[in-house]
Amino acid sequence: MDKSDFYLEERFNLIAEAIDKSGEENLLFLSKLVFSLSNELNDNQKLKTLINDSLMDL
Amino acid sequence: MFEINKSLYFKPIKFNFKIPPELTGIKKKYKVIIVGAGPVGLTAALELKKYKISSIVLSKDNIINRGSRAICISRQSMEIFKKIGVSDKIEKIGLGWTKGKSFYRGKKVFDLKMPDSPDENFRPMTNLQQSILEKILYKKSQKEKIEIRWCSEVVDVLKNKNSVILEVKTPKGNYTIESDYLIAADGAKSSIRDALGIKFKGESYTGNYLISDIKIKINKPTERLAYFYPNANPNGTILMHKQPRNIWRIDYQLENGSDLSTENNKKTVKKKIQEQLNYLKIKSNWQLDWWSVYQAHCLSIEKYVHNRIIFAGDAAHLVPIFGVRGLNSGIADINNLVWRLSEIINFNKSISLLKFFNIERKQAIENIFTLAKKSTIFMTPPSKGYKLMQQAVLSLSIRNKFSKPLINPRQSDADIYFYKKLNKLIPPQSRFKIGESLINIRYKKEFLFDHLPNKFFILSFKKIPESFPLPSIDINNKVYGKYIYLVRPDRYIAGVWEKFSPKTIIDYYNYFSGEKIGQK
Repeated sequence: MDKSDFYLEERFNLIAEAIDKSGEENLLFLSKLVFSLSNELNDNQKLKTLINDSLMDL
Repeated sequence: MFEINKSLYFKPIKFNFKIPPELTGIKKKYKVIIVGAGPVGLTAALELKKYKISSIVLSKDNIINRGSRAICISRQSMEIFKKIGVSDKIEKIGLGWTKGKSFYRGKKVFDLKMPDSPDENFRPMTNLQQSILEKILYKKSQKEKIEIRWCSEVVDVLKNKNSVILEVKTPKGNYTIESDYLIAADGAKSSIRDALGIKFKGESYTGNYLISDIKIKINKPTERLAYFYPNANPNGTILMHKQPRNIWRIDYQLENGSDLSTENNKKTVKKKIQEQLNYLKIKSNWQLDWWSVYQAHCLSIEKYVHNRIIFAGDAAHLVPIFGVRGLNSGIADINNLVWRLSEIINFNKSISLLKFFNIERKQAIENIFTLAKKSTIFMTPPSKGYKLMQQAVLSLSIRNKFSKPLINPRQSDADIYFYKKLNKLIPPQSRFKIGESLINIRYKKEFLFDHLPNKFFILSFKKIPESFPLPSIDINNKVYGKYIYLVRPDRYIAGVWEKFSPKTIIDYYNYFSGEKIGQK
């Protein structure tokens, strides 16, 4: 396994466990997380692309 | 004694109990007793035979394969089966495969491609039903005149010091039997483990799968098919594997909290399978051969070596089915164990050589647990958080590459044993490290592995002086480069050098084999 896969897995686990921790408020938690990450990203064009990507295949 | 399982593809063999010498008052001490006549036990007996060590096999059953239903044999296991002379038969019936596909709600999200090349003797995986594999191993064991005692259940271990004494229950009464060593390959419900009071430790996972075999003609290639949230199982996964003789394995995930008695009912099973076949637009007639409910475990005993008793296969560790490591890890145990027993029995080496078996196989199983745990969490998400993330990954993977590695089922591969300190001393550019397995390549119009001795040897890009006490194989090939390797009888690397240094090589040989030899 290369390093990037390892980090991907770590992210997967961290978010999954945080969703569990947030319990019934998981939607609020995820909204907060995404908004914070978008602030870190600091690129609204990229954010729009990622939002559109994520809206597909729901 | 057990009833013979009816099968749509396999004619079971029933064995009768034969009175052993011990029941007529004759006492004999055996070199090795193997408990369990499954694939791990029979492979051990055949591998021991390669080293000219006789053994007897005790089985409580009177038939081949009452329980486990492994179907995927890894390339590494095939190479071991080649050593004991059964790979041709396995290949003749088995279905080799290299690829797989995963779908999410009907859309493809992942292509599995396992490493393969014409230089490899075997495909990464070969599908063959365990019962057929066991029949092949049984027939070979009979050719090799290996004694298998059926209807012989070990009920107690009376001694495990400078020899092992067992109490064996048979239809004609109990007897005791003594051996120098005992290989406990008697499966998940090991009677040897119970007799020693040893317990499994580890994790069991909440998700259940219904595993079934059906007889049906489907015109599809042999590959791993994973359907996440298909219409036929909208809240879970369905896995499909083609097997020989028109048998398909269909595993479907059961919803958490579902009533297992209802799910385990033949009518329910047939209904669910029909739904999946409808979903795939398969109209052929089919028959249900067998089914069972499965729960994933990562369980192991703490030590695989207890004085003269060595645990192997499911008796030592239980791994999840995802990644097909159950049977294959048991065969790897035997590959690691038998050459050590040969060194001890045939060459009077110290019994402490078995400690390395314990260390290396524990490392391998820990590593397998890490990988299998990841696969299991993805295949049977244990919580809402994991399920949401699994669905997010699957959905994103329809159009994005970045998330696809998380869908990889992490199929079984050769185990690696860790020698951090020694590996600091090897040439940094070497592709292979100490503790890694050789890989097979074309060699002299055949394959390299066809030319390897059952003992420590040197693999070298240049000729080794004939006076050197270990056999050598010259190889001038890009894969192995300009290096000199010390290789163990199980084809694992025990040293890598750029220059031939007899004294250092002998030091490494002494370390790995426990022997003190000098140059001739």
